[in-house]
Amino acid sequence: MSSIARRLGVMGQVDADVLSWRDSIIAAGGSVSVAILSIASRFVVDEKASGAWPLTDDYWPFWGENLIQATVSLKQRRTVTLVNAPAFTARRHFATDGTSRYLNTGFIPSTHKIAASTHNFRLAVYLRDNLSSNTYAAGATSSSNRNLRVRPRNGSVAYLDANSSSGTYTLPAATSAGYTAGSRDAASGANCYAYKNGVAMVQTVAPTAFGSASLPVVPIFVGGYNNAGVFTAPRATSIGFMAVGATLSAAQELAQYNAVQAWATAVGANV
Amino acid sequence: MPVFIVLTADQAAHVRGPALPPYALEPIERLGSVFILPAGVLDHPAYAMHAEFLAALPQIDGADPSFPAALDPSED
Repeated sequence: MSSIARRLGVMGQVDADVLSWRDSIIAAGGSVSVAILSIASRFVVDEKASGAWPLTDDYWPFWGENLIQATVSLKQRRTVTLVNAPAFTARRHFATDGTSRYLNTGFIPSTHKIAASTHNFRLAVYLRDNLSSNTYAAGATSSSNRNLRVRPRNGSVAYLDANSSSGTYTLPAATSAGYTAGSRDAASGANCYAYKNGVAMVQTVAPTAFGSASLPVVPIFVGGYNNAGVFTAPRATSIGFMAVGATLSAAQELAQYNAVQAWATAVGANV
Repeated sequence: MPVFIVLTADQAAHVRGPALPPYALEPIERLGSVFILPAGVLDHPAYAMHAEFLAALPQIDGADPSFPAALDPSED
């Protein structure tokens, strides 16, 4: 038995999905420490316990301990493309510059969705900085109202589009830092939801138009949004984590925030 | 302010595309049919194949009054 196997034996069984993620990272030339295997396994176990795992189509732990690890998504194991050299800080985040540096996740909502659907989508980002700006942390749009975007703070509100026009939500505290999620599960303003650090935000402007043809047909960008292939509304931000999928219940939102924050805390990226 | 390389459309087309994985170059179009890249790509090992070509192009400070403005974001 190798020393790694012995150490894993001490920690207990690592979740099989995490082992698949590790194998993809190794195949790409990266590595995953025993400590991160344990942390990621705890995260996945918590997600499965809350029921959020089958509802979430993919996760991006950008706070990886090395570059390759930070560019392989956890569930679908897609490799992110780093466009124009966004800065990577191990165990923290990718930093975009608000002008030219961004990430292309390769995740095309219309074709890579599993739990999500045209009228049921959720996008969440964990940012490590506070910036009030009319710009986007992540998103994709391919025609009017087919918008999946997060504008985590402009003044005292967040703007969240879940295959819809923008909805506006009052931030509990005026900061973009933390975990911001937007979702909807039907074509109605009353079925649009937003959460900050697992707590529901008050909707101040309801979306009034909803994409009905499909989800966007272009990949989600990070550090701005993909406007039918054009990098648009770039934001200078430090992003540690992202997730996409279907709408979560209030209890699952809180559980996912707690799981994300536990991972952030374990690697020193928590805000 | 950061410094940017200024490219024409033809020059942008020349360097656009995958670099050393997982990196890529995608010059950003600005008003006036010009494109920019962060000057930091010049000494980044992932872009070594384009370093000599890019080093010969003009550069501009992001705070320079002549810095080309962003294309209007097409908000829906």
